[in-house]
Amino acid sequence: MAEKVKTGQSKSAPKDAQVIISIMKDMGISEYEPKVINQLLEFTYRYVHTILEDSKVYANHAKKKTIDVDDVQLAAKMQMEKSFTNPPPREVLMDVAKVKNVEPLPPVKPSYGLRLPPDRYCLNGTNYKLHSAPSKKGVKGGKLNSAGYKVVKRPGSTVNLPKTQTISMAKPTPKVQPASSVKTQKPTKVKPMEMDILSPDLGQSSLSVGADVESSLKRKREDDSDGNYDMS
Amino acid sequence: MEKDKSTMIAMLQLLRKYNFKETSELFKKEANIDESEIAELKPSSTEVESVLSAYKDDWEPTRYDKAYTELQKFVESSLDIYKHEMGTILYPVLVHMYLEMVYQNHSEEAQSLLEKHSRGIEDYYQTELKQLSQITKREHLAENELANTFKTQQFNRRISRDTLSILKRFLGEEKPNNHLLMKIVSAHVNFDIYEGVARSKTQIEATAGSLIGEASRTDNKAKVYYGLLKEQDVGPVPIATEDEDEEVGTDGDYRPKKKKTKKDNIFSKKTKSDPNAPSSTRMPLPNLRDIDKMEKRKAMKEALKRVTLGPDSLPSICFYTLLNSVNTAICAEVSEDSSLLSVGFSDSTIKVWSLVPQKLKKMKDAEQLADVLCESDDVLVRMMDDKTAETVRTLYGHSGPTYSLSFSPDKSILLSSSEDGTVRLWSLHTWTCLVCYKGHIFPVWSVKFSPHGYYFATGSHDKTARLWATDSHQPLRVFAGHHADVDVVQFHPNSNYIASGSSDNTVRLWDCTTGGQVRLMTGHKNSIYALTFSMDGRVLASAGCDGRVLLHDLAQGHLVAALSSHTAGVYSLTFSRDGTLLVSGSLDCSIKVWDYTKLYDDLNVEDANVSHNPDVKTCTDTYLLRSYGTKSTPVLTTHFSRRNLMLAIGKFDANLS
Repeated sequence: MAEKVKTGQSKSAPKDAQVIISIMKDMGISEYEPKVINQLLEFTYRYVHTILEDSKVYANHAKKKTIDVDDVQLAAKMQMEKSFTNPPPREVLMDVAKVKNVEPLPPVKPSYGLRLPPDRYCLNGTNYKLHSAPSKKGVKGGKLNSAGYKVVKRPGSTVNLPKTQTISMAKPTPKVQPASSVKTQKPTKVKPMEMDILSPDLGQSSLSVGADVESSLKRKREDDSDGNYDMS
Repeated sequence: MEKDKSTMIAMLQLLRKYNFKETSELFKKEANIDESEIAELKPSSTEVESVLSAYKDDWEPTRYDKAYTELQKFVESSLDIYKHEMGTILYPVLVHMYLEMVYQNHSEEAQSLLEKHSRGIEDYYQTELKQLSQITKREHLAENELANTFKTQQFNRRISRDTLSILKRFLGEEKPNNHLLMKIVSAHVNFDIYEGVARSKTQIEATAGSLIGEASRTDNKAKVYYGLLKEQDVGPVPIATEDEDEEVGTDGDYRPKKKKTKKDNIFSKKTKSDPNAPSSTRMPLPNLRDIDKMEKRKAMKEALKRVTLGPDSLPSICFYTLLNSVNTAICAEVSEDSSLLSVGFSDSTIKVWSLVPQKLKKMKDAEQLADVLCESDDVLVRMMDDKTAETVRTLYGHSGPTYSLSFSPDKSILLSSSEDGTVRLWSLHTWTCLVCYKGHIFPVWSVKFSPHGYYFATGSHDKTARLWATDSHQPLRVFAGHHADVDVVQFHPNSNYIASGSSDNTVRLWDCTTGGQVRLMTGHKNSIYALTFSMDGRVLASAGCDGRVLLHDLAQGHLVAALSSHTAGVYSLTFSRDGTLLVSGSLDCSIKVWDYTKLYDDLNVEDANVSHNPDVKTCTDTYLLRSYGTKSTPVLTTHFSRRNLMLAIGKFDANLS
């Protein structure tokens, strides 16, 4: 898995890569995949880039022509708080634990099926809600199915629907049928509020720090340039 | 001059605070301080604490070096019996000297101090010293986890009374640098004194190596109910197999619990209650459902056909090799009945294979299920759709590498933990994700189902282990106390306790009912990756990155054996089903089989008293029965089937051959 980078290889590498290699050596890391260097180079570039961009904004704000050390320090500090998070300190966790652990363990509810949390925390429920159609509009707008419900589709949402919705066997799940049998309304006629997504975070939790930070930073920068507060 | 004055005023205030009236008057006269001056300085800088703490800054950087050298000389020149025990304080003293110097912005001197003396420190501390050497600025101190741990936690050392008195005499001597040493030692080293002879080098090394020193006696005082629970009644078992049972039965200690129940069911309702067992109501456990009872009966039937293992009859190993996955496969897990294998990958997928001829089927959808007769005997089979049978299925849902997997005892659900900070519960009937448990915000390294189902435990990068129940979206217990990542968690066979192994090189045992820490076990020199309890619940085996397998007696938390033969990290530890063998699988491409029966007999667990760590069994050769080598395949998981056939899973690494 880990491949030792030979010294011959490092000679031919560009200067930046050699710097990274020597840093790794300094830190006592002798075995790594060759890709690690590229990754670190990329990271360094990106990191320095954002820091400098930020410090430029700060310098502008302070009506300075050039970036100075203070700007960079401030930018680094701001970045640090956002992108490199450490777990909370042990003492905080101990306090949390103390509060949590005084509650007695809840008794086990008798059950014969799977023991699952309430429906809203599960992913197996339907993630759409059916509204009973108002009698007048319903007749005009679309055909009612036998249960007297109108199936409402949110434009574009079907793609994201998880497969899980079919397994709730206990509940009679109204099926979303293709347009041939039941005429669904055209998306343009539907008010967007009519469909409530019940479990909001079905897919992947957005942990991609890079993108998040980027966007929030942008927001931040915009705020800064508004000049709501004085830097000095 | 101004500073002197404020110091004196601070002294005066201190004297007044403790009501030394005459002394303070005298002092006032001698130091020539006016009342007005006191009043003048009071609001600004005469805060007693701050002035006193300013003394810390007064040391010259060169004095640290001198002081340390003196201490080292003293340790080396002292009597042999005290030498090693005394030597144990060198490491914490060096660390704190370094940190203090960095704090005072003497980083160059600090570096040279560390460089000069780090060679004298034990090998297993070198990685930490290396990490510390990267702290060169005061700002680094605040951010560095390791430095914070050292700052907030006293380094714990067990030391005999004699050694301590000699040490104290030395530190009390009127030498210019001793004051500095005394200060560091008293502030950062906690001595756990015991009566008796000072320990030898090997004894000290056995329990050393963790980030916070050794466990003190108070850590391991609480009573641990390590006995097994009385099995719930599972109904009649076929009598026809009765005769076989007698043959298979081994020595009483190792009689598998399932068989015990069976006998109880047949012969008498009364069981010998184990005094060390927790009461069955201590922790709410789920009742057995019909399907669980069926599974238990099946397990008991299988257990009757179990091969008795021992030094003369070593297990056969069926090894599953994962090809072309050396960089992607992360973890593997076999279900309790050895019918399913699941592997977690770095591309955040999970694959499940069937290890038996029965293929993996999906449940029919709701419409077709309505047609299934509920009364028929094979309703469970009929519920499944034959058209969907496959030998391998893939589960998608995580957004980061999958680090750990665990099957529920009834193998209807699978839990997975991932880098994205979530634990997901998968149904193995519908092959979909049912629940996503969020609570940890950092990568979850380990997840484990309780042997009774319903509960599960997780260990995470956020330094906590947590207890969950499948029907609760929040954790029920948070176990905080580790100083670094919790890398592995394991349930005690009676489900009342959880053991956790961490990167701070300690193993801890937590009580599920109170959430408190009841055992702290040290001895590992590196991160811990595998934990397993013996069949009788008394002994906890742990292994990790340092390649050593350690056995701890839970009654007192003592380290009782250290088996070192592996040359690389050990990722898997398993006891055989009859509890006679211990098996360890390692990254050095080998599986080693240890004679646990013999080891247990040699341990004399009954006469270990509280105050003394018994001698640690280290004679590896006597207990190592066999080492099985694989072909360039580091071992991920080992598992014993109900009939004591061993299954192992590894990933082939072409670079190793």
